[in-house]
Amino acid sequence: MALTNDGDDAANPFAAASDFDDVNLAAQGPGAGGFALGDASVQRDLAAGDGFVDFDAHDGAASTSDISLASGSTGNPAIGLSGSMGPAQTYELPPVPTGLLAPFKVEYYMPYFNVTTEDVVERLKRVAMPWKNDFFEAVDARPDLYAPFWVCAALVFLIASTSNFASWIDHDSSSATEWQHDFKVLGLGASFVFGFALAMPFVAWGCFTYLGVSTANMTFIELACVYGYSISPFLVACVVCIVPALEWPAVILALGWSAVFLLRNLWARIATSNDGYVPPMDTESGEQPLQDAGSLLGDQTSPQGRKLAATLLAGVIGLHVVFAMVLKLKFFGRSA
Amino acid sequence: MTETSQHDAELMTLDEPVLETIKRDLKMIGAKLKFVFMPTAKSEDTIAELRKWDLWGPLLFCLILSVVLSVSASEDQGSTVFACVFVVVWVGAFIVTLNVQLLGGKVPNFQSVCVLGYCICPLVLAAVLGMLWNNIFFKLALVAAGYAWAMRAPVVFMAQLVSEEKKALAVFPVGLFYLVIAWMIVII
Repeated sequence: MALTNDGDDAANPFAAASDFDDVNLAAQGPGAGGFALGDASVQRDLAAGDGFVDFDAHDGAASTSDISLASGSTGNPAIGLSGSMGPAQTYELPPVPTGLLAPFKVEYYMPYFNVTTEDVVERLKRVAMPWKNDFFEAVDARPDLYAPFWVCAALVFLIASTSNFASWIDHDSSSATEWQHDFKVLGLGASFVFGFALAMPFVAWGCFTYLGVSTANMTFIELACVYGYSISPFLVACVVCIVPALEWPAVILALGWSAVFLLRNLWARIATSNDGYVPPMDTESGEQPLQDAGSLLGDQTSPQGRKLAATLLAGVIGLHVVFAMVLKLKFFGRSA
Repeated sequence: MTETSQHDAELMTLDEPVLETIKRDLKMIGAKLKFVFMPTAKSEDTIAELRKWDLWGPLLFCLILSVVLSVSASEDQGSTVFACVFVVVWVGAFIVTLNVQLLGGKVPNFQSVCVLGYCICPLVLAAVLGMLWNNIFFKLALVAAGYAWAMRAPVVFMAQLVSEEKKALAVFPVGLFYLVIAWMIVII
């Protein structure tokens, strides 16, 4: 397969959806129109559609002899082709709809719910032990929105129930007034948690994109995914918060846990050079297809780039601290 | 010929007394409820019965639950409770349905909402009985039984819609949905 550099891609009408491999195109035929791709390809396609600058490692990788690439095992070049997470594709996804009304169709979001129980458990394990393994290795270019959504929903329920339970325990039964349940906490908690979980990745993604901190490494969905998972330590904290003396320790521990998780995984993606990634050699011409992958990712290896990335991450952690403080003071504010 | 007469019979409902219509609808709800409540009915039978979906039952139970809870709620929170119950039941049922569709389950929206809506009936019953004696442990026991009963059919229904390795992902939201409703009944 002939090599393409950036110039060629600009002329190629399919370059925008950067993960079209030859195998898929051949299967589809030129007139197919619908993008029935392997799921990793769908992800990459959507990522590129969001306006990301994708460096085109796939052109080197998608040699005609490598049919397995079509099954979605390409992984993300930026995190190294570990491919340790087993087969990515579990069932045939329907074609992703295109057009103006596409975001209103269920199929449009199905790639983000293409996970199995095993996947979700594995990813949650990596949140539980953030120092052990890289989260994105488990994501394997298939970020899900299932867990982020239901983690938030469960957190809303836990906030509402445990804060009511805590106030019930605290209530002095000998006092004249009867204990009152607080129902507003359900709506309040829902707007707080879902608002934060939605706004946070938007802000982070906006900053990353605007400042150009190697956005090629990070799609919005991936950010939403990692942020949603990072909220899960607070689920445990909410339950522990029933015990009056353990409120602050629980919230701070959950905050630390989730901050370590975010820092480890975001830093690995946005702030370091991609040392793990070796551009594939082209067997025909024997030269490196990408002379320097790092240079395409912006300046993040330079001290300035690192400083910028560190500042951004500090902002991310700062917002996380705000989240934890609001959680503690607003919903478990009895002893404060 | 038989087709036309059937057609005529359907048209005849236009000038039947309103009472007749309501009676017929209540009978229909009753027939479906029998399956939800019968301990001997397999969840498969319940699901088969609820496949002929209607939203009258869910609306009725949702209204009963909202009224019961808002009546027993404290004065200043009555309307909040009513709104909360209504929103949780309907929005919750639709989100759980959407979830299973996103996981690859092929099911019409309203059919799934119908199953979820009819199956809150044991919890509604627990709420009504809970008004009789305002004891927290009595209520807890009632609601726990209602929760277990309510979960029987929908869990099987959701689980059979998706592939084997996604069952837990489809069932967890159902559990959370009924848990929220159960919690609301307990604390009021």
